[in-house]
Amino acid sequence: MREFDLLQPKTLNDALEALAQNNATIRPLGGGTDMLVDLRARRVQPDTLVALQGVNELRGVTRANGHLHVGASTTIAEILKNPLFAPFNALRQAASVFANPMIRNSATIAGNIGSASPAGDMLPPLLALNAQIELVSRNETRVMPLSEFFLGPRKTAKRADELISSIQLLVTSNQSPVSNPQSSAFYKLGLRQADAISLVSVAVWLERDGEKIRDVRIALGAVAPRPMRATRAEEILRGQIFSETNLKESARIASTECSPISDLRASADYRRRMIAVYVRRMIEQAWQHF
Amino acid sequence: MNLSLTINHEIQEIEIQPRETLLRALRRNGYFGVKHGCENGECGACAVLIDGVPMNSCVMLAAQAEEKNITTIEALGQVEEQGWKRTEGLDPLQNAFIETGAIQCGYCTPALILAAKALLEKNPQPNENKVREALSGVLCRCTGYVKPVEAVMQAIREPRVETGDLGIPVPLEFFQPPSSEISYDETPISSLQSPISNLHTPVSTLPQMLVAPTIPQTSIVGKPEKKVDAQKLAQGKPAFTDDIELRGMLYAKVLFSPVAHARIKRIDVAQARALPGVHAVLTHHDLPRVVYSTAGQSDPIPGPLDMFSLDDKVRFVGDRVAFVAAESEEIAERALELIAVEYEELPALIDMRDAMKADAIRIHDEAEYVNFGESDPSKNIAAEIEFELGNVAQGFAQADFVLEDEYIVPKVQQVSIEPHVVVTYWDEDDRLVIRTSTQVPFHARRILAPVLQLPPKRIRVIKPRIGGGFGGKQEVLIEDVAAHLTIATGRPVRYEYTRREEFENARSRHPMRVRMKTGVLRDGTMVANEMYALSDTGAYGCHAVTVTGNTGQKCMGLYNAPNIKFHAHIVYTNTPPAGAFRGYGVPQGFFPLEVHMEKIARHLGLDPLEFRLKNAVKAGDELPTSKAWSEGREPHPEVIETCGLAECVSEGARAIQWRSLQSPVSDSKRLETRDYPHLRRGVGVACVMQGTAIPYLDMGGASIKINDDGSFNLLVGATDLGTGSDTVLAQLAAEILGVPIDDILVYSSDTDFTPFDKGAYASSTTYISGGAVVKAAEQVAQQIKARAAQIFSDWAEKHGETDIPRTEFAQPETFPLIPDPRTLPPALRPNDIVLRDQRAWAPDGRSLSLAEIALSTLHHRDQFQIMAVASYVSPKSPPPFAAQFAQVLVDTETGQVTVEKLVMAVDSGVIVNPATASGQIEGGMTQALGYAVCEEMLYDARGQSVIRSLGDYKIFAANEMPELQTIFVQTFEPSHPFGLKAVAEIPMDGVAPAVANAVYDACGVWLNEIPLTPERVWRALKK
Ligand SMILES: Cc1cc2nc3c(=O)[nH]c(=O)nc-3n(C[C@H](O)[C@H](O)[C@H](O)COP(=O)(O)OP(=O)(O)OC[C@H]3O[C@@H](n4cnc5c(N)ncnc54)[C@H](O)[C@@H]3O)c2cc1C
Repeated sequence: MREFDLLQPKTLNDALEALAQNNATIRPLGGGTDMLVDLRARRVQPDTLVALQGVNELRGVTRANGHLHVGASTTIAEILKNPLFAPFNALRQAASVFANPMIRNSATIAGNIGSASPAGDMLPPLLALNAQIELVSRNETRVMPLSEFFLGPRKTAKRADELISSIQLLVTSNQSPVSNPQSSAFYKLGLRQADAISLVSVAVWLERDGEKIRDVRIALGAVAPRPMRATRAEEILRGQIFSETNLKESARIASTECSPISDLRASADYRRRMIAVYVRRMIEQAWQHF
Repeated sequence: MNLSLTINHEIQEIEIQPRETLLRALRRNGYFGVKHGCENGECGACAVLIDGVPMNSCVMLAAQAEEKNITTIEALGQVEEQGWKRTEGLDPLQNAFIETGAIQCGYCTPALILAAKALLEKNPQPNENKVREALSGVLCRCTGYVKPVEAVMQAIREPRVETGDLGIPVPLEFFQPPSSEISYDETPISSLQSPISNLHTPVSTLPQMLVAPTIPQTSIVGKPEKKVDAQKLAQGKPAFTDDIELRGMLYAKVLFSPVAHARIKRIDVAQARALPGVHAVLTHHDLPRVVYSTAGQSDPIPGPLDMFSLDDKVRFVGDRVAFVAAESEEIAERALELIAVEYEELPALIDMRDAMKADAIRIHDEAEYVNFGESDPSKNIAAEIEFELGNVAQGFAQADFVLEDEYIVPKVQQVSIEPHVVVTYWDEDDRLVIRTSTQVPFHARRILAPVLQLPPKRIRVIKPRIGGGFGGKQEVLIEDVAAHLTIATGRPVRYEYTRREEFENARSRHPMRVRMKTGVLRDGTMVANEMYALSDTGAYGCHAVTVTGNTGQKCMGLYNAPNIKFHAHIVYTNTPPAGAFRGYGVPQGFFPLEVHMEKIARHLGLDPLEFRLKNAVKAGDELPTSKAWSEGREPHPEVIETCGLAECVSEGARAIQWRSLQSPVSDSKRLETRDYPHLRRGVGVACVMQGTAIPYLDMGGASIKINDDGSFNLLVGATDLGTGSDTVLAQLAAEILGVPIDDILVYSSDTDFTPFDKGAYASSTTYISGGAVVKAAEQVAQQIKARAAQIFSDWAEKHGETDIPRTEFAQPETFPLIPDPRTLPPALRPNDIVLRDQRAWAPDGRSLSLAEIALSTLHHRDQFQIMAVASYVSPKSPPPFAAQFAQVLVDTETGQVTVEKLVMAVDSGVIVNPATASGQIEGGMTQALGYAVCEEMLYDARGQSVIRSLGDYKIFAANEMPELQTIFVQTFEPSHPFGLKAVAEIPMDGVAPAVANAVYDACGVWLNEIPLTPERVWRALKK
């Protein structure tokens, strides 16, 4: 590990000030579960780290105006514990197979997003739940859909002087004033059950209207340079009666939308087929859980 | 920077660098209970509680823990009696871990205990799933998690465990005679378990014990005694190699080759040497060129000598190029970057199938190469083995049905959680001390002496506690690095592999491609059995002959065909060398053999169990392959004296609820629920055997001496690497000396103090080293009895005049009653005396405590030290036998195989300690399960490992385990004084074929290659 300076600001302002001042390589530090591994492997060699742990403004989960505000420093363990996450089944399912219980106690949601790994487990559920991300710097605060945040593997729309301050999830539907039932589901396929790098992962979100799927979002992990939405597969289902035929077709389309790679763990062909299997299974699961 | 940390309720001011992890900071300040096995957040050995929450201290900066409460294992509890001081004693969890046998090597124990502690603080009554979940952040490679989970459950059941009881009670009803007939339980499988794969049925931590009526009664042998080292391990005491810090210690790093095959044209270390803090940089120019083998085996090493500490040629990605010693690891790493190397790249040979091709590049062309047997480096052949019993060609001609097929088994790694680690230093007598995590301290000394150009008498090897080995440390792998650097600098040097280096540079299991050809008559009688193995030893031929020889010798010996042939080529490739790994070639052979047997049985419509038993060897048979091959040395024919295989098959079948498998694929195997149309369930079996030590070769020594208080020091060269061998050896001594196991103080091992022992391998320690302990204990017992007889007789002569030592050890009420001398018999003979309950008893009921006898011999008259040294070597290697069963659930849409249950019924002879022995079985089955379904070391086309971390190479965690069940079918093996055979390796052998056969049973596809990854199974299903 190379040497670096460590800053431990107590306020968001101090943290942002540090980021704005420092033109050398400076990186935020969350729980450190990615950062420390990367530092040791020398994949990143920052001159300065800004530990965000002491910054209270980045903590906490609150519900207001139909939104859940999830502070950047929220750990994966908190997602499993805090009842405010109850409406977001996919997120909780992802958290429950995320690494292992000890890592979950350290790992933060902003760290998972900041790492922007195509296989990051929280990312497909957040995409399926249409999360918004809030970025702050000394001079501005901007909010964007998370789907616009990922530019490529480990590449994001975040500037070096910015921090992820929170994630926002819509609790009720914005499309209809009378909220329809919503449901979501997540699965990751690995070489074993948990704690494994996913071969593929799938998250879906459904809004139901009688026998119809009123709205749907399907997000895929580990099968493209970044976590992605399967928008064409969604089209097949949106506004339609829930049917076996539609489901199969949507699953098939999803498998053509992604662009998985072949590596020694699994072939692209297999990954594609698994996308089809799990898109179908997750939609069935979400539908059953209304 | 200055940091104030609250560690175990005390505020500590420490000076750190910003980049220092909490793990490093804690260990540097003496909290050695915090272990490390990966420093990547994956193994969990470094767990600490931060404000009561378990976290990995390796992926956290020390500074991030400021203002928090840090708890390490050192805060939990201490042994109650500390001389005149009393403490509150151990934590109930620590006690429960000790009592349930949950501690094997103990390296991950502090982390498991802390993780459990945090769970119980939050949730005092968790169910088993919650416990498994809480423990799942800590990887354990020894136990299979059965006993750690049980320990937590026990701690809940009994909030305060009383100390001093005799270990785990084995319910009496478990001691039943074995049933002689085979019977299959007909309970339908679908009633067994929920289809949801991660639910667990309750654990059963105690093995089922079946005993042959011939087994004699014993009082300590056969009992689940607590491990003698459990107490220190439960407290995280600094017992391991790395748990010391020496003044002026330097840190070693090695520059590894980035290319698979090259000559080093030029190497420039000037800049590295100039870096401040660097004390030595060594290249092949600096070291004597001594050819050797790293294989930790007896002299002469049965294999080619083909390696140098440093060479001008590199033969795999990860081969050594230069050694550096510096004042910190960071400086050493920096120095590596400053070494400039010019390689002349050579074509790389990665695929074992290319090794013997005419145009293949030659990997070993060094002049110093020393051949062994059929090795032929000009053809890249490290070894060749061939034997034929009878004539297989004739056998195939007679057969009604001949089946031929090819099977592929992968390279996998031992993955002890404690990496390879060594500390070397010169002592005040100019002798080199090597404190190392090894399975073979005596071989290490012998092998290193020429390499270091020191006579063996100037080397002392100390083996402290070992954090798991599994064969990976039957290798003199890194000791030379530190030793050369200590010689170069005069300073203590520590060298440890990182987890990535473990995967890229350490040894592994030989991958093989195996062709089976078997001929049978219509009634299932096997008439010819042939195996050809192509085995990949990688860049060096360590264990090349012996591993693959065992593939043939053990596997092809199980079925008693009149015609048996085995042929193997063990070839060099430009990949990291393979070596010894639990099972030692035998798992590689049993996967092909037992899947092949299943295919034949299914093809002929025979019951797979009956077909196997019909052909398997039986007690009284000569072991067919015993006369064909023996570890590359002279073979001796051997008759099998005990074989409980039939009982193993019947008991295992009962436990897994086996049912007749008439239709190969039936829809009845589908789960009877609409929700899971894609799931199929099946059961499979494999029969296996192993050996017990190497006959006429393996030797172990033991010495025992008495102390003032009637306790004994037992010194053994045998190497307990977490297996519990120290405990089992103590039990054997305690049984004979008539004392509780606490009175045996075991020390293992140190080449200066303990007698020679060949080390921990070949499933031999209990049998061989145990044999030595038994002999030494018998001699000591004889000396005690002689003195006791003398004292008793003296009373008679002297008319009651007493020679009874009055000491603080002898409480008045325990004084022997002085009988009326007129009623005494004449002089007693030593053999009239019985040792029991820490006393020597005369036939008339008088007794003396061993403390009294000790004081008499050490202080009072005709003084001498009661002690004895003995050694043991066996002319036999009696095979343990086992039937292994698996129940699986296959997702036919995705190819995922979930193993739901593993049962192993094993005849290991008499079981000395059911807790440690079942721990061996459970842990072995778990490693074997990885071999079956997910473990595989993979390389890209250039020979670069794609496995770099435990994230890439998955080993099972507590919440992913199937139910494990162990059944011991105990026979009394007459070649050993206590009737025992081996336990350690055999559980590795049969899981993979049982799982593959169960997958066939579930969904009708054969898999000839392991691991059964989802994609492999899915592809087979698609065909
Ligand atoms: C053993 C192990 C298992 C793992 N298993 C999984 C798994 O199953 N699934 C999975 O998805 N991941 C897994 N990970 C990866 C990792 O734990 C997660 O990505 C985690 O969410 C990272 O969070 P962190 O707080 O530790 O981030 P850090 O390591 O502190 O930071 C990660 C990155 O995010 C940036 N960052 C952190 N906070 C902010 C912020 N507020 N604003 C802007 N940038 C920020 C950092 O600069 C850095 O680039 C695993 C890691 C380990 C060590």
